[in-house]
Amino acid sequence: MKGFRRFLVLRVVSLVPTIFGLILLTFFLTHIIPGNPALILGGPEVVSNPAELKVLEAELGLNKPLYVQFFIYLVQLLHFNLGYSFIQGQYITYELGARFPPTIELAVAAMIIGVPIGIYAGIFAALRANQLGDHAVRITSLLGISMPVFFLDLLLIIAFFSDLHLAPSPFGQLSPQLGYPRSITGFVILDSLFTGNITDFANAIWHIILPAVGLSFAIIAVLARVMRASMLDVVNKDYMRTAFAIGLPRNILIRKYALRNALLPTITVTAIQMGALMGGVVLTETIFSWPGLGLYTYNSILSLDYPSIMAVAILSGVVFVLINFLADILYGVVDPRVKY
Amino acid sequence: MKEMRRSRSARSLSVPLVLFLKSKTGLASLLILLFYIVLALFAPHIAPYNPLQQNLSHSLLPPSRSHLMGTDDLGRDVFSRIVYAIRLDLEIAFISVSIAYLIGVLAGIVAGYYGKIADNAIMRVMDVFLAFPSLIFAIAISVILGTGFLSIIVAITVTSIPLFSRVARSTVLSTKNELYVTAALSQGASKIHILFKHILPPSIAPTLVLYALGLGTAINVAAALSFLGVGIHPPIPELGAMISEGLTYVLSGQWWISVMPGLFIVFIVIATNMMGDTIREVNDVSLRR
Repeated sequence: MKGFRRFLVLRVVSLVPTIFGLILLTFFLTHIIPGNPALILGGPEVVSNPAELKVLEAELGLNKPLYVQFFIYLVQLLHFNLGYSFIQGQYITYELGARFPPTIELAVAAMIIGVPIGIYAGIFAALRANQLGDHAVRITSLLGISMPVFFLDLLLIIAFFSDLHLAPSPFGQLSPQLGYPRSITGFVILDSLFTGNITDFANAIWHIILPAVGLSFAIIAVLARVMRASMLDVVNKDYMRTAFAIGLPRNILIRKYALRNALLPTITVTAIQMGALMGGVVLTETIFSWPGLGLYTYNSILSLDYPSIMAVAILSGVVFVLINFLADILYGVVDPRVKY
Repeated sequence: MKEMRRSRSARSLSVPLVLFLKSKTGLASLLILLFYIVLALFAPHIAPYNPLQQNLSHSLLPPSRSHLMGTDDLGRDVFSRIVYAIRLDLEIAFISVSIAYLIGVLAGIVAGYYGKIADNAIMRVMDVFLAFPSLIFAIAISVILGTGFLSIIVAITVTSIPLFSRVARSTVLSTKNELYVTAALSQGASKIHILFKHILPPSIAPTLVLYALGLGTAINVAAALSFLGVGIHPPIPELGAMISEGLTYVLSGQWWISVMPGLFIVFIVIATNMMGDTIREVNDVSLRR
């Protein structure tokens, strides 16, 4: 346990340079690359007004040396101040806070659908290597990693909304005639459950299925591929042959000997997929008008709201780094062979 | 002596190549890619209409004999636009992935071979690049650089470099201590000589896998950026932008404007993914019987 604590401390310390680098890079992107950052940060209204530009330059501290500017930027970030959006006329942190819950809801739903199906499909394929079931899984997962998520979303909408009328219209979290439940957590599904609003709850579930399925397809595909390869790898190990020779039942052989070892690589892959999910969220939320971080990013792009886009970049970078950190820790906890 | 060496190196290259062409997936992926390349190269001869030519009296026509894949809201021929869009997307993919390959592999080899300070410096920078979800990073870059052809290329290049250098570095770490490298060193070969003659060649195959996969990713990212409005702008045809343009018509039944370009993205990316997988398989000695 002592070794584990040491590992934990070292791993936490190693987060610092990565996150620092991440912040440095976004700072570099906004402050050093072409043009006046005041123009970039201030948006189109400032461009046409030289006097306002001067004021803004002073306000942003752009007349100070670069390292001082970076220091100011860093201190602001430590206070969770991600900057001010001139286009929306408010602090970005405030807006991001409101946009977080819908995205988390969507991402969690996608993981709940994607992870079990992906892992099961991988095991299913590995146990039938080079048979019909295996080919079906391999072709499906090839499709899953090749299909752009926004195109898949579109096909889902055509099939399940336009043709089959099974899904609700692809605009937002709830049907427009329903009011949002009283906000307790900010998560529509949880809030409607807590306030006992069953209509809203059912409607929210109905709305989240299609975008979540769209997002989960890539997760299913990647996990199935990894799980299949990892399972095949384990099945051919010497200890598996020994266990088989001893005469253990196939059920125990697979569940106790193969599966537990084969599951390990999926931890890392799931973490990486959650990073990719954040990219997919931008596209999916844009298609489904889902009022989360992704739609916020899309709207910021449309209005050239640079500070907001940079805030999203930093935020998703930090979240991604933390997810990988948790995956590393989890790996150590789950795999007794990992020694610190 | 010289003759012998040449024949040997020719054989070592041709074994995986023959295996690649013999495998169904390898051949299929190559044919699909060639089909796209032909479309791209001869776009002006293949496209039946001018991709920018509007014809409002022919707007929103479903696929028919005169308009293979229908027309869009401005009466432009969807198939002609797709052909030109493929030309543009392939250009973006090949340029950006090639640049990323050169820079990434070189950086990875240097990091792996020289180790210590070089390794730390290079890989820490790569770690920071990898810390962003790649699409978000690509969006940030192209927003700052201003939208267009060049900034898409920069965005894709920058986000793919770390992947190449990671893989190149890991192969170098395993070949670095091989006996033949030590032998060359003891015969007085220079570090540069060893780097290019002994360390570089074994890392070609694994990075080639990534190159093929990277082409597909690049097309996906280019399409996603254009779809979000930070890539190629209308009226220039680009596959992702075309999907976005047709979006409003999908719900009213004119599905072909978005779906046709989408299908063309899916097939090329499937081909590059199959190609990557097959290159990996034919170079994996342990899988060979």
